[in-house]
Amino acid sequence: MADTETIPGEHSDDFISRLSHELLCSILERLPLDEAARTGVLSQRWKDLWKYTAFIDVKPLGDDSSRLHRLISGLSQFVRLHQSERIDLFSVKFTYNPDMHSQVDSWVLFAINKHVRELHLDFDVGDDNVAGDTDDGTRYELHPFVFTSGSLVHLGLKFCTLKFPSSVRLSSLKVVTLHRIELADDALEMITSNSPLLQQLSLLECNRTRDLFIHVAPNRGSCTVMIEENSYDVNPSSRMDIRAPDVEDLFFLGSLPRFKYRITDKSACLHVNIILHGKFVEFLGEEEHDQDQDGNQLGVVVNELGIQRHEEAFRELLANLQDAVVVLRAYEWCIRLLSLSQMQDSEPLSMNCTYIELSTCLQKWDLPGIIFILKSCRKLEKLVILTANIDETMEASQLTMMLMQHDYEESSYITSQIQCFEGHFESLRTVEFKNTAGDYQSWEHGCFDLHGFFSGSQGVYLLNLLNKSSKLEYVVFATNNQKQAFRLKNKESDCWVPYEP
Amino acid sequence: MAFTKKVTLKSSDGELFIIDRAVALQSRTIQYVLEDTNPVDAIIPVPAVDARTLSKVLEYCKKHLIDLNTDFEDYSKWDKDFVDAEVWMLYDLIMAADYLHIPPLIDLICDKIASMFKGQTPDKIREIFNIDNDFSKEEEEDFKKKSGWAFK
Repeated sequence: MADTETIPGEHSDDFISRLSHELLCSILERLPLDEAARTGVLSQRWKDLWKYTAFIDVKPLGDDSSRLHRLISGLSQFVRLHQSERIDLFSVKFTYNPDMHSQVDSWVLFAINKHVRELHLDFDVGDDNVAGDTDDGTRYELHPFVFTSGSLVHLGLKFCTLKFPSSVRLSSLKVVTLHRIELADDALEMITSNSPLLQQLSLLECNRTRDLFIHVAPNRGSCTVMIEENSYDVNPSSRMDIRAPDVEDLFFLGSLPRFKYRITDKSACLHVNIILHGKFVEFLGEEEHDQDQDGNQLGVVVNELGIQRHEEAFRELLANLQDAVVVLRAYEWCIRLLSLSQMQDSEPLSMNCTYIELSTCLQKWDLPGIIFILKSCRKLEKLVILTANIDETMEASQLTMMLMQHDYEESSYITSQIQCFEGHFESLRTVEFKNTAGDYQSWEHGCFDLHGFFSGSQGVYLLNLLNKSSKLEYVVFATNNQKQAFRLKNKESDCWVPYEP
Repeated sequence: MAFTKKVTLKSSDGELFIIDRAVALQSRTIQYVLEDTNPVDAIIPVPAVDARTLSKVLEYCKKHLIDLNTDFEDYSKWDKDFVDAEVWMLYDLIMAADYLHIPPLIDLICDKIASMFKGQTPDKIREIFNIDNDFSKEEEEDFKKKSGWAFK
């Protein structure tokens, strides 16, 4: 192509203008739309280049909101003038208002007609829209034409509503990310049953005020489903219903704000990752419930019911996953919820869980929860305990107050529990403690002090319990500075010696 | 044995570069030549690239082969220094990378050139890259008017 063009500057020092059309376009694709368009004024050679770019990524740049508005108006000019046959990426991010409906529609149609591969529409930058009281009238209703695209590989939507055409066909679609989208009960079934190549479905904070149905259509290739919800504004009396016959990997991220989780029709080889790093305070919405119209005494009761309901929801979810392979990464609040289960004498579950990672300060009210988890996971192979500074808000939380009604004495409690762990673990081989807080961060070779390492925590009790695993090969003790593996000198002693494989 | 296999490249100005086959294979152009003809000891001509540029390109290929396991930060620092060069050198490099078909190197140089555009006025860009403005005053004003949104 470059050979047939007349290239000004051939004999001057203007090297860059000699680059091929394709290379110049790849350079312009790396610039914000206004800067790309501005190159049109450089010389004749550059005049139309910006009209060929296949990557459109309009988003706020710094705090300059007037620039974003200019970019949005420029986008409409670009859509009119665009020269090439295809668009690879069309991504816009800004706070939508309903006046823009027809404008956005024209962009979306443009992108689909140009065989767009990646389409991202994020209409709630900085959560401006969610902050206000929003009903569906303020959202962009996605043009139904999108659901007939044969080129679309990646679709990402935030703060839109979906309206399906009579026939949905997304023959190339591999990744769908839906963020704060209100989904009808059959919406996900509709999408998944008509996207034969779908590999990943991510749902972030969808249907925050009502039940969410995640029904993945059967008889299609394997696919990963990721669900991320945080308690912020999710209606705690809503449910989630998952039907996942061909889903091989399921992720729960954030927190578990709903009161009921049901998973039916599971794939025989389902792997579940529960990674709960959401915050506890958000999770309970504590502040909102503290004040009641009849005075604050009642507030506490309401909160306790809420906590109890979440304890049940969490335990039920775990029970629901009994035949799946589970990886659990739980944070303090999850552990304390299960402490409640343990102290209220709930039956341990029977989970097929080989890897567990717990972030916990190993305080008194964490131990019962950890015991509950360990009792529920006979097949555990590796346990990792991450210890950080004590979370004061957790210690002062309503949940901890509830636990205090079941006061116990640590050493006698562990002695009574330890019997349950004789022959309990089938394959626990490795335990790792990582302590990133506290003073004990390093030790001289040969002088590791177990009590120093666990100072201020109940770690020693836990360790005594884990020693009951007959397969246990070694325990790793790690800090910010150091890491060393130890084993028990012999079964009867409590003397730890460095482990040499 | 495959690890020690050597390939000889000949630059446009006749210089020979004896390099590991694995290094040369990062160029898809050379990969096709090797797959098609499998010239065991033959010399592969690279007529579009002079010795100075070729040695620089091969430096990139070697780095990106050997250090595949070093962490990302080290890597990006090296890349950043690698493209810290005069405009004419960037031009030679991208032309060579294009001819030899080494996509990551093309991307790296495009990123670099784009970063030289970012935040600059058209006048400043013309100055950086020696671009001759062959518009008439009227044509230039007309363009600015039509795409007023792009100019503050």
